[in-house]
Amino acid sequence: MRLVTIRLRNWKAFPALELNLQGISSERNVVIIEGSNGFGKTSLLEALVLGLYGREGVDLIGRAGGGSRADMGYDAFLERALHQGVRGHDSNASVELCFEGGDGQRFTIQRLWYFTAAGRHRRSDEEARIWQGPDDDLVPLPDGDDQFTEVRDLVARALLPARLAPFFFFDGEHLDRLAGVDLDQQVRLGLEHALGIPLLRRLGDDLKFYARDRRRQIKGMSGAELDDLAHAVEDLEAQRHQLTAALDELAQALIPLRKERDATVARIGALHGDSYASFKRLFEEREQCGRARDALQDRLRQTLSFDLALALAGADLRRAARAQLASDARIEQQEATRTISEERYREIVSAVGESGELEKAGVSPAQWSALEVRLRTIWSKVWGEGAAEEGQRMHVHLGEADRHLVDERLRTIETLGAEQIAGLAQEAEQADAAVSEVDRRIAAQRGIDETSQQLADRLGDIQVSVGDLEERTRILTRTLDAVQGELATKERALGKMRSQLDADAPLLARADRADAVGRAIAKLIERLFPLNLEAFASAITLAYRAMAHKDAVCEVRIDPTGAVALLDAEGHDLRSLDPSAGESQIFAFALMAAITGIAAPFPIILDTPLARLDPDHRERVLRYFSGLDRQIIFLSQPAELSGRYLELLRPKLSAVLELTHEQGRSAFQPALPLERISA
Amino acid sequence: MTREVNLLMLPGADALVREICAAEGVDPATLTRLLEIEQDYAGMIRRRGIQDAIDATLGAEAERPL
Repeated sequence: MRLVTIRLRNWKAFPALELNLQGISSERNVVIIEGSNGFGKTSLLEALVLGLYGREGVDLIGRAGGGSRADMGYDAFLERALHQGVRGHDSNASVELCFEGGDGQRFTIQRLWYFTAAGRHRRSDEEARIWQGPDDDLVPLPDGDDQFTEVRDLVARALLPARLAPFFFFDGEHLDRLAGVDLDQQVRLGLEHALGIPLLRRLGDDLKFYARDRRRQIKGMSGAELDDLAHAVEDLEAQRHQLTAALDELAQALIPLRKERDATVARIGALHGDSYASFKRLFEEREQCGRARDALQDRLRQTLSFDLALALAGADLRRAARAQLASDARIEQQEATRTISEERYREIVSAVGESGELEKAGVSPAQWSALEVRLRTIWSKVWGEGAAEEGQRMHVHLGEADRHLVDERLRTIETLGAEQIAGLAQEAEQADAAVSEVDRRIAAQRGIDETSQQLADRLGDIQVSVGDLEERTRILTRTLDAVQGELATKERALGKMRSQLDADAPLLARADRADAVGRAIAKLIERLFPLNLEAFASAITLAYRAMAHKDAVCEVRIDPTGAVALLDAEGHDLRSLDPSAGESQIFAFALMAAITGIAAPFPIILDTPLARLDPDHRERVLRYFSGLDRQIIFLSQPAELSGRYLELLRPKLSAVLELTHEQGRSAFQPALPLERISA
Repeated sequence: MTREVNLLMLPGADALVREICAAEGVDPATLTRLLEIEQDYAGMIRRRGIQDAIDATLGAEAERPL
């Protein structure tokens, strides 16, 4: 598709404009639109974007213009775009764009925006019209919001979806921003936009908000609790997923190392005529001794880090703490006894009153009342109320079992002294000596010739790596166990809460649906990125090699995580050689060219993009883009594409159009015949 | 699904969407509809209406068994 006509009315500095780009062919596919700063080049770019994408286009202009315009919103942007000359009374502005395909198919889109006398955009009056086909048939469109949904789909199908527009309409600033980030991030940003992942992310966020909002409507706080619990379960599931993946990775890493260790042990054994089995036994003994030594060192560390502090606190303080624990235990016992005795006493008195015992014994109620007071006093004495423990429980957070553990620990500390620490240190030293002894026997068995030594050194390295990986595996496994335990608890709680909320099932069902769609989106984002990476990487390689003047890079490779490698002929990654700003821009150009190459045959519009490039890179970029089989429109400063650059483009050039600007109005000079345009 | 919303046009993307939606018990048409809604609200600063639109779509979806 080629852009053949642009018609603007009351758009920024253009009161009326009709720009005819007819006559462009695949042989002459380049148009240069020249203008100084402030003459309307960017206004033209914005008209193209807003004309094609309406409200959706504001985000794209925001990207192209540094982000500030996106914050402004659609209405405010349009209100500023209305030509100054028509403000103050009811007015309208319009953009009409006509595209033509090689097969004679045409697609014309017109958007009209209406404004009040105060310059406010009348959103409900906005209109869009589309003519399509070789005879420019008017396409029937529905009314209301459905109209814009339909227009969006027609534009996306016939021309280009909005999410790909940033790769076709781009300016120097956009390119600078892209080139300013790391290559991995460039690729990720570029491909994510090409795949529509930002839209998926926004939808995922909206669904999360929706699900949370629905759950909060369920019986006030219980809904919020359910939501919190559901998210806790979700987080724990994500942690479990990550931990399992990390453990799988460690297990995979261990397999070759263990194989290599066994093979190395066998080789060392074979070199000295020893049997593999006896050599292996020595290594097993070495591992056992090593573990025993590590355990002793841990104990020593534990003793010095924790127990020593308690020991240094002094015997008086420890005794006082143990006495308080004992007192706590007695008070707790008394409280329990009192509670039980009080219940029993009430049961007995009640039974006496109810079973007619008083009548049988000939006791009157007044006598019983006096007797009961006396009985109460005796009962209290018998059950020890009179000898109540003085003071109050201090460690109320400790149960009986915990109290016992603390007491046991304090008791053990009583015996901790310099002798015991010295003994422990001695044991650790002995264990270390035992390890050295086994090492010595291993060394003696394998001999000291060079091959054995190299193998032994390698074996040592492998052992360290295996030990490290095994330790990490143990840590991760413990963490995974804890996560799984917590997850099971939370899932049970969630199930229970759900069953209590049956009455609110419809709201809950919607929230669950939103969660299900959200999960599908998250998986989609994760799995979309690696799709067809090879094709992208090949396209980037082609474009990069065509535009970069250094030919060291033979292949651009992208792995499924988005990590980029620039490989030379021998497969070495040249990423470590820091690229210049210009080279980074060339990579950004290559990335954009690759995406446009894979997407629709839509025109590429470049707004002053060559400033940072040296002359050689400029020539290569111009040669590459003008050589593409699609229309290329350069929006340039007057001197940017003159001289050698103009000569380079001349065989592909169909027109050079010059923007003028006088008294707040922009217009085009009549196009000169190409042969009269001098370099 | 990809044609209506012009997303995920890569080869293999359709199959991926179907596979993932089936695993989560989601109708691909619901995902399509929700993406259309999200696109309808692109560029809007006030987005309150999007929650009602999502509700209307998920209300119909929630009546389907998971």
